[in-house]
Amino acid sequence: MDQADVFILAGMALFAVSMYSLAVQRHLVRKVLAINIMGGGCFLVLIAVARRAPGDVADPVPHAMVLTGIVVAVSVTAFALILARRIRAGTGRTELPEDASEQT
Amino acid sequence: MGSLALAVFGGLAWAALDRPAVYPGVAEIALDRLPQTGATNPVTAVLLDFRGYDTFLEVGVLLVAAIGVLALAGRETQVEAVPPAARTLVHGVLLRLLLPLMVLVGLWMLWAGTSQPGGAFQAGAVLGAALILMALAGREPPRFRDTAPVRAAAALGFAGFLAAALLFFTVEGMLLAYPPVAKTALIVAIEVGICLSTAASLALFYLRPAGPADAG
Repeated sequence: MDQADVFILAGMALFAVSMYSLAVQRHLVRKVLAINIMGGGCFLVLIAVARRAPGDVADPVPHAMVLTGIVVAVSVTAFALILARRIRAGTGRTELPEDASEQT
Repeated sequence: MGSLALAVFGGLAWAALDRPAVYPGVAEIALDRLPQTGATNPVTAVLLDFRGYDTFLEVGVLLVAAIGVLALAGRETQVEAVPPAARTLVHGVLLRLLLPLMVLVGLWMLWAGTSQPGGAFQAGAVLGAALILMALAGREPPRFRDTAPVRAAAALGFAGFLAAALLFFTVEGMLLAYPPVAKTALIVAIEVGICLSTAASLALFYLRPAGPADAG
């Protein structure tokens, strides 16, 4: 166990906790938040892995991938939130129907 | 479901701790070829040269999301600024101090990106935050309600990158293969487009949907 291991395990814990949250929470905004934190966990793992590169410079490739990932995560979040708002504006609800028969 | 999440964590943790003693990575390959690119900051080199396709499509994702937000938000929604009566010293003085600083920091990050930590996306995030701050305090940039300039700025990054890729294609015969001359200038030019795009898209994400139209 070194410092990178602690970050990697923390990232994986974030991923698992928010995966649980994504499945259990019904409110759409909470689901979007859960997806965001899942992504955050992945970024933490990638950044920690980059430190393991031989030599004293961190591996720039995972860093660039995380940077790309953050921008995509922001875009997806914005789009997901606007979809959630439209669902509320259209149906008055903040949750998806439990099954297809519930849909009116 | 809880036990499944625990099992996922257990499996991931086992994989993490059961790692090879030496992590080979790709740092060496990237750092060895750094002089062939127009950037001296390795992350920028990876982002805009080695993995140019990644970044190109990333800007595309940003643009698609901005288009989606604009299409779904509707034209009637507008940002709810702090009403004039509720404005305090914070909105006046702090903004007056913060805004020039944010613009300065954003431009510096954009410029420094090729040689130091920084870059177009980070700079765009700072400038986008400045726009959002202005709008929240009721100090909208001139003609912000007409989104045409913002929309144009949001499209600039992708359009510029695409134009560069096509230009390189005619010169070098390969998409996103930088011609040997003026590499740094080309990277900076692409970065300026990406920065403006990021700032405009972030402002659109935040400001267009935030309106009283569907409050309740």
